[in-house]
Amino acid sequence: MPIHPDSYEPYDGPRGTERPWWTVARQTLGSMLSWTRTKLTLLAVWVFPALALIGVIVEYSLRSSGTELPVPEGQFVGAFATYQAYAVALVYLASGCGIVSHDIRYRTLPFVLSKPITRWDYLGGKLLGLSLLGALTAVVPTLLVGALRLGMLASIDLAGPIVGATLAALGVAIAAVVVTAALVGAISSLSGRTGLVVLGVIGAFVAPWILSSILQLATEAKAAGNLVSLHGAFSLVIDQWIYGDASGVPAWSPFVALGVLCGGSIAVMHWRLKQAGDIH
Amino acid sequence: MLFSTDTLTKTYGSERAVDGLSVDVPEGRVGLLGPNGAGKSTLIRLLLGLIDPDHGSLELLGKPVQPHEPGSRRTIGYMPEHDAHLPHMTAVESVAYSGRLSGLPRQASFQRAHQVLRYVGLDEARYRPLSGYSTGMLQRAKLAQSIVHDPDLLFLDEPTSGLDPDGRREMLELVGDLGERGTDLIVSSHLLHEVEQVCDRVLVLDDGQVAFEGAIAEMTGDDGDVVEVQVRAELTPLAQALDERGWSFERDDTTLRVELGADRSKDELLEIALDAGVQIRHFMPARRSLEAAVLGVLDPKQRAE
Repeated sequence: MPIHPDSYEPYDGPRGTERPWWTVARQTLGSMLSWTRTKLTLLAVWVFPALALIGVIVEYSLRSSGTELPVPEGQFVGAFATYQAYAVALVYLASGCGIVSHDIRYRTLPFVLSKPITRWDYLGGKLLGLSLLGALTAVVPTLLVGALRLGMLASIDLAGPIVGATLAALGVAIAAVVVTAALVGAISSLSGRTGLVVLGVIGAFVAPWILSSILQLATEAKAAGNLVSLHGAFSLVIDQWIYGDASGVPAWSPFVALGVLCGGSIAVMHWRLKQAGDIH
Repeated sequence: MLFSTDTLTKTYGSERAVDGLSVDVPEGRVGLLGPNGAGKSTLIRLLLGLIDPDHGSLELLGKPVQPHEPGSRRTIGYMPEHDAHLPHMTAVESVAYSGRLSGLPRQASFQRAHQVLRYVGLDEARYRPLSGYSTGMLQRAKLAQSIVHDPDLLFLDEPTSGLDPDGRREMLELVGDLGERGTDLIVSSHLLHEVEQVCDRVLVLDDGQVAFEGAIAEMTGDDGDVVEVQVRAELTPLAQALDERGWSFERDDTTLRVELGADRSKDELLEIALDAGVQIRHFMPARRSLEAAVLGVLDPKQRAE
């Protein structure tokens, strides 16, 4: 491997033209999409939205041909939104646990932070990269299925009852993408051992769910019990905004729970990145 | 100035890694030396803005180092001691990513990645994942990552770590070439003869404080402050005569290395030799090895360790 000292040329071109957080986000998303497990997981979670698309077309065909079907309500949208929240969790579990953990494990974190980039750039880029993967998982299918269904039902004057529910489902998908990304990012920043991070993420999904079940059994306060778990909080949002059920807790409470979880996760991630100079 | 620090202090628990460090280091090729725990790595991390000081201030290339204002790091390169790459990436991807992080536009970063990978001798392996690289290839890829944006200042932490003799020679050749092109270097290494090869100045740290800062020539006696003397018969009469007059010297079986300093001249030394009745057969400006010179400025406790 001979070296070629004559081939080195000084660089006089522009610097600082690309936003560092966008560079980190692109690299994060590109890396995850290059993995076979990401492609397989995405294909698997897209099966249900694909079937839903077919279902929407069949529903439209039946309704437009005069077949008597019930007036569309929020059940389909609610089920779809619930599924998307779990799909996001599954994709992040398969591919997102290494977003910071890999940089700790392979000692790239101090190297990256020695570049002209702030910790917030790195944090924001990582979360954006992961959220873009989440968007491919949940937001894009929700948009496609929701828009197609609304469009088809609107052509036969039946869209009215489900416009709000469809928009709410889109909101749930976006919230699931962002809040779950923050949670996974925070856990990923705690260790360079990705296996431990995977176990941590599973624990963060399952342990509060068990806790909420115990609370529900012990106090019979089903709705309040849901507030302590990520997917419980999402189910409360879906109950209130899509099914229109008054769940027994203030309407704002699941949003506060999700906001606290998201903010706390970002704070943990930033605290870990402040220690980056000593992570080596 | 390459960098300046003023009462710079960084503490870990009860241990002061950097202890009130005040130093001005001029631009050039600087070796950062000192025993384990002297504060070299902490100083590098402080200069790179990876950690905040507890007290004091520091400037790099004339600008204050502030982790929250990283724009000044656009013209700085850092080659860490340990591997710093994601193994699933190819060399081109990894080096181009490093370029984009350094502020280069996407297209320019890929062009530069190809160019610097050829420079370091990895042009034929540039599309292979880094997970399949040997230690020597990884070290070259790391150098490529750190120079892709053509930095004005390059930090090199143990640049020849893990390399075989050929690899060491080629790495030093590359580093020397970068230095000759005008890139300022800060080289942290335990291999002092390598520092001697690529640097013209050294900063020696001991217990988080400056033990020496200056030109290597000044430290090793290249400026004529030390004279090497050999005589035809016994060295003892000359050694005794110098000792009686309070001169400093080192002695081995055949040679005396006599320190002249500001108030003693070579002529005086020759007169003493004449008085002692010894016949001189070798009288030349001496040069201590950098290792001996560094040991000479370190705390005696450290030397004993």
